Amino acid sequence: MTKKKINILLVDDNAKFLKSLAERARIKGFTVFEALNGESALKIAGEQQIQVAVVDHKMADINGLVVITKLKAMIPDIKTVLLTGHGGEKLKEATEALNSTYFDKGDMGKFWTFLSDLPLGNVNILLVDDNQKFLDTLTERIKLKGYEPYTAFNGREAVEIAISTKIHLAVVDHRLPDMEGLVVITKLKEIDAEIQTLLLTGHGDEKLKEVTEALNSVYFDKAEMGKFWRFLRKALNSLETSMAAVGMATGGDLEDAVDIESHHSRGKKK
Amino acid sequence: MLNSRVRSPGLLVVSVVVFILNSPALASATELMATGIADKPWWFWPPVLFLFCLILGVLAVMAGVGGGVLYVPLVSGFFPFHIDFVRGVGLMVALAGALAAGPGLLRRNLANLRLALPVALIASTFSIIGAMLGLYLSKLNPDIIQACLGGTIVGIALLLTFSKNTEKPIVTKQDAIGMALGLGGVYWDDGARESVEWKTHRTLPGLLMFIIIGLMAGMFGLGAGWANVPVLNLVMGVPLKVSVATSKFLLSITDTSAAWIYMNRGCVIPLIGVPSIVGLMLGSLLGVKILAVAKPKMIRYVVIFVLFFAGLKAMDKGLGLGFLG
Repeated sequence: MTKKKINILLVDDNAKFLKSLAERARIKGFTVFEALNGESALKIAGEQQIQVAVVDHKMADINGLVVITKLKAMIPDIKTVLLTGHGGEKLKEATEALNSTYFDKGDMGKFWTFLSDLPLGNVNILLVDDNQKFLDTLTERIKLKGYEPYTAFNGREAVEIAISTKIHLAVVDHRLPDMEGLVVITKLKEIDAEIQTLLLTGHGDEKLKEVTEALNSVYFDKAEMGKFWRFLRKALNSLETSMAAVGMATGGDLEDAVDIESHHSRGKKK
Repeated sequence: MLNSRVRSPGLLVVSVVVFILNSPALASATELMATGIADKPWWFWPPVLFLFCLILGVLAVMAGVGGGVLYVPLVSGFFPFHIDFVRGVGLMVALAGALAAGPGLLRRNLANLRLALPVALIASTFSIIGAMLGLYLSKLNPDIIQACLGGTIVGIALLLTFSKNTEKPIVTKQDAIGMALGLGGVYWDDGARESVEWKTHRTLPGLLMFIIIGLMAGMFGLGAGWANVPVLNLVMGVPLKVSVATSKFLLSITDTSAAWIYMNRGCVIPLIGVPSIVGLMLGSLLGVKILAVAKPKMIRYVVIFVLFFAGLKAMDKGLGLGFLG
């Protein structure tokens, strides 16, 4: 699987903040372009293939929202982020109306998580399920992650796609109209041994799990999907925040400890 | 004697006894057992220690004091464990807190890696020396360590009483060493809604002070946040927020180095360590929830007073004066 670097444009009139932002983005694997104002940002966007732009709101020459509007007009597919330290609900709404993402400089953790979640490579995903509704939902969610998946309603279609296209990951339902999911997985592995496969089922048991794993494939019960991981992610995030607050408190900075903890509690209530 | 008091014949007990028998600190441990409380069976201590540490965790957070600083003097003062075991676990307690806080502080861009690494190099080197020196002195006579620990704790209590950290110290000109090491940065101040630039001055004296901090951290197993923060903040001119977060991150490196020495000498006993770490971590989580809704300043003064008392008690015990019983 080859990885392609994403070109990211960072726009902020605070040179020091911009430099620190750029340094971290480079560490995260992005190709970074920096601009100290709106004009130079638009100039860079005209010359380079920019995929993501992170724009400060208050700048000397052009307002951040205007820069985003112009960038969207120049590159319709561009992902844009407004990063501001002077925001509010109104500005957030205005940003989202531009189909752009809004982040407060006070919560850089969320911003870096967002950047980390951006897809960093060309990965071909094949989804195989005879349930149209489930297939649509899964496709939508994967599209949100920035991938364009291939879909198949039965095993035969899936095999045909795998023959004509290099597939990196296949998510296969167990009960298909023409053949069993395990058979599809076996055939896919015959076509390309490197293909990563995942068997998705709502009617599984321990035996099926064992057989799936024997095929060097991952087993996943539909009923458990999301629920457990959401719980785990939330619990870990919550624990990490509280421990950061404890760290600040035991270092003698009670004010910031309270800030971190109450910011987090407010976020949970929302 | 700790091992002879164990009456239950379970496998766990046998392992613990064997472990303790192999420990170099065994001989001296017997001397410190108070006769009354030594009659308790082995299983009495873990739950008591857990509860004690749970309360300690809550108090540490609410008072703005590191868990290790409270743990070592209080547990060594009120529990019948040898000082070497308490110092070893004290380091593990401080280490657990630092490791748990580190990721969140780095993610928030508060802990600064550039600042932490040179400081950590110095402090962790000397914490290893400190740990070795501490165990050597303890082997000669545990009372030496007890008395020195007492003096240090009294010093910490004084520092906590009189030291006034500055939120954003003014640094007009960065010195050459600070510039060469790139010790500076920018962070977002949510309260003031602005990004704050900072740089260091008096870098060399600051770095040299970490030699002493490292030695003391290793020698007494106290953690070292109480000394890191004032040196970073008041001497080197690092903003308080960054000082506190970097100090916490720093502890995860410094204490790891010293903890290996204690582990290698058999001074980290799971029966003491597990209830202590779990208790303190849960207590501090509880403490930070309470802190978010109430900030009773009184607790800090009470904790400082307790530290004074514990320090004086340790000095009294170490010097064999017998004033405080």
